[in-house]
Amino acid sequence: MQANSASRSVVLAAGLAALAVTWAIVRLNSQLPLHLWTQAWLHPSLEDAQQLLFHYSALPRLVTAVLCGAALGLAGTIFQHVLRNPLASPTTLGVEAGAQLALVIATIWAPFLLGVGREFVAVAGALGVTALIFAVSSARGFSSLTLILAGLVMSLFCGSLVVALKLLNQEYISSLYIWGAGSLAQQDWSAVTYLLPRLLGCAFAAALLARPLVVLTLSDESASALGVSLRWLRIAALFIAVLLTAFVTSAVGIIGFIGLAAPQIARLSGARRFQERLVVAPLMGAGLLVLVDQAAQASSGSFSDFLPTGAVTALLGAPLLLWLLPQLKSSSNDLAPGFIAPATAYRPGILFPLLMTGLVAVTLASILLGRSTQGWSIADGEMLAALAEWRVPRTSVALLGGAMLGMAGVLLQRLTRNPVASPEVLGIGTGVAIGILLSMVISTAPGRGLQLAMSSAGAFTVLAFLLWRGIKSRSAPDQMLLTGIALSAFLDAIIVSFIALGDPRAAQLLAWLAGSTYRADATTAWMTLAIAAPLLLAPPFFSRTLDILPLGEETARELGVDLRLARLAIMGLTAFLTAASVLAIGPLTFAGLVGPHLARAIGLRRAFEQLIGAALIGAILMILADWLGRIVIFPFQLPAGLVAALIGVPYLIWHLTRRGR
Amino acid sequence: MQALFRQDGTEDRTDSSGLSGPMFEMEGASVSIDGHVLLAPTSLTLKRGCVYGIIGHNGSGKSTLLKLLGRQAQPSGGSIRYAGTPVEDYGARAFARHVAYLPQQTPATTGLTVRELVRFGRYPWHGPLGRISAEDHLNVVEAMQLAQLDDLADRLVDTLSGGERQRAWIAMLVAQDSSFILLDEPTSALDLAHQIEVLRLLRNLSRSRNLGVVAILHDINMAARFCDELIALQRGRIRIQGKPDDLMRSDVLENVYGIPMEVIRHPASEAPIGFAR
Repeated sequence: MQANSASRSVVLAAGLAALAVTWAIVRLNSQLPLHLWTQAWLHPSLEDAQQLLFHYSALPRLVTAVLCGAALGLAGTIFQHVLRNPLASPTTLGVEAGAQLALVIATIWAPFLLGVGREFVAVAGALGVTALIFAVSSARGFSSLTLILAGLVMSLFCGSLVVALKLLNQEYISSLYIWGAGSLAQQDWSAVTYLLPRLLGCAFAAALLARPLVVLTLSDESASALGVSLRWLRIAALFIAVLLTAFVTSAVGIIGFIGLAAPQIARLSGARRFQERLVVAPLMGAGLLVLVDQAAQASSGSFSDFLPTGAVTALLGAPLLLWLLPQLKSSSNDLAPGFIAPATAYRPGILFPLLMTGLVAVTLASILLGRSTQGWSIADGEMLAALAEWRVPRTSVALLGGAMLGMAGVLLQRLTRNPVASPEVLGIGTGVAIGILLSMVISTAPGRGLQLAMSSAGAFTVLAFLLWRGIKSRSAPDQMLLTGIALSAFLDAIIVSFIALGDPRAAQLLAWLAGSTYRADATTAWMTLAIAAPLLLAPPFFSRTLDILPLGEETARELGVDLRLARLAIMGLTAFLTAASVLAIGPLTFAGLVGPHLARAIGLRRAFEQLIGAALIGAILMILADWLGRIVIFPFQLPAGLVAALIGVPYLIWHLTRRGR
Repeated sequence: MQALFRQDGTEDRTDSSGLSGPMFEMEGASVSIDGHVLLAPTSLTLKRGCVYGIIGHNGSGKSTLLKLLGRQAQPSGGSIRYAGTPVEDYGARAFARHVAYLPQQTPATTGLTVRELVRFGRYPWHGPLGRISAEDHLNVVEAMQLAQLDDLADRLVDTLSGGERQRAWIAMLVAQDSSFILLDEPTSALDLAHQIEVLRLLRNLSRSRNLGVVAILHDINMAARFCDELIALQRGRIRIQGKPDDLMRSDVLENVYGIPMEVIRHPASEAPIGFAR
């Protein structure tokens, strides 16, 4: 039986690899007839463009795909085995994103490091992220859920940092962009000669460790009883997996999810033992990546060099992640449904005037205070009149967007009973982005009305999916977060593919995705106000229901809350609020996470107070972010949404570590 | 709309002040999930002003029965009527004005004070937007007094002891001013003194407000002491139903619990006491 299933999985892996290679051969054959291959491979004729393409592009691309796929499959297998976590992989632990961030930083500020060896830079970044997510999850007893959650959040964070750096350094952008997205396109054999010895070394080391690693299948106590030093064994194995990931990332960028999919498929096909998976998973990985790469080339036609294979693997991999999520067992260390405890000091009578004062202060600062070539300047008189035309609209757009997000966050946290829920973290902002994308597809010049309708529908769909999954899984908060993040990875992949395919509308989408306020003019500001005013007035009417909902379904039903109606109404309102705010200030702002949290932490416990407080704090945060984005790197500007994300993500990670007990 | 609710509410009250009042009638109600029978077709009539104790093994269908009455679960077959009307025909809040329900595990109440929790009991009356009336206030004050929570009113519920917390939740049900209160093991986490305290409170409420109380209880002697009627379930069926005196016999208890039991009389009060032999 055992032998049977093992051989079956080997046959399956070999079959997959054969299928992939056959397809590659058929496609190559259409480019260059079979009988010319040997010649083209060994001594390409310099007169024949097809032979040159074969030798310097098609063939190295195929070999690179095989090498990267196998390496990621091996890395994923080791991660999953050592961490005893079926969802661990280079992508879900954020290791790829860490390597990428380090490389981008080095490219911009320390190019000489790349001369010393780009692999060292990538390894440093990958190790840094690994250390960080272990620190976060150690605060919660190394819960599997927390580890993956921390990894995905770090992925998100590194991703947005990379975007910020690219925007700041336009001169590098084209090369950074193509590489970072995981393109397998090759011009010579350098990637292969770079990867081959390094990956072989890692594979050799992994083979040496294979036997001692098997004991990790046992519990820690029995393993130590067998005389294996677990600590060093784990560290050594993880180091190999991190190295594999870093090498691949430094050569071709992020190829997401292969490292998750290959070991999983190996396991499902019957490779139950670790040693079997060590062989089968790399085979599967190589076959998968070649298949995906061929499909990407075949489907994108003349754009094949621009559709990064990494975007396609993300497109396929994110649904896989969603499907696998229920496998993660919750532990007592995970977040409990409920809320962060408020401070004991409780005086909303003083807090509201304070928050109002804060809002007025940042608004004034944002309108009056700026930087010029001569240093800081306070606008007055004529200068103010001139500048107000620019500064007032963007400040009001930031204010309204932040306020709407703050309220949406309160609605979400109370609706889902999830203390870390927010439109940004649950991927609802990405739903809005898809809605906008669709409105661009439907109409060549979509009006504000169509955009709002489509993006609200997108937000509502994401929210409905999350709630449906949440009710199915008895609404464990961490599960819901993971579902949200996996969902946004999927939707992101759709957007990246759309942009990469060279659609002319992509530029418009890209600018908006970064969350900028600097295109706001008087018309946009008035329009935003017209949409925001009714939406901001609505949530307080739900405050009594919102007070009861966190007590759970049974109590809510017992008290006569019509759950279906209440959920539907609050979901609809959240969708509208998120859509309107995301249209104004972009999807990645974190005002919807930080606003409700801070409001509660300073003592605003009841729904009504929390709604108002979160709106005020959200508005303050966004104005501040907009202002900082304007002055920090003067004369250039950072999008406000990006600045807010750079504040919000560390806040989220800090919160995850704090929720241990 | 608000006026309509109020009228509705006043009407309920005049109706419920009658001595016999509305009652629960179950007719062949059953629950099965994936072919597994949790509750066989069951018929049962429950009256106001009476304390019912539901006893039986774990998994005998006690909670399922209570959830059916409280509309927390849907029957797979049969019907449940309240005051002659099928329970599913009531609106969410209308039903909550008649029947209150306390789950076995009360949820976490992070950041709520006792007074705020008890006020939630008035939601069925004032609804999401209705004005909070003097009567709402009166009911909250009265419920807190009955449950002896006056000194704890501004404490956070999460910081209370188990017994105090249970009293706070029961006060919320009392403020709901319903005709029936359903409680799933209200005494399971409490020590002896608090068990007696809670059960005494429920019996007094039943007498003073003509309230129907249906409680799942583990301790057969407590149930016999405080209930007017006991309902014993076994494997999803009502095995026996009657006055505590009729049930407190060794042969009946052996039948219900499936182990040898004996009943003696309390030397002073003559109350029956059952125990495993």
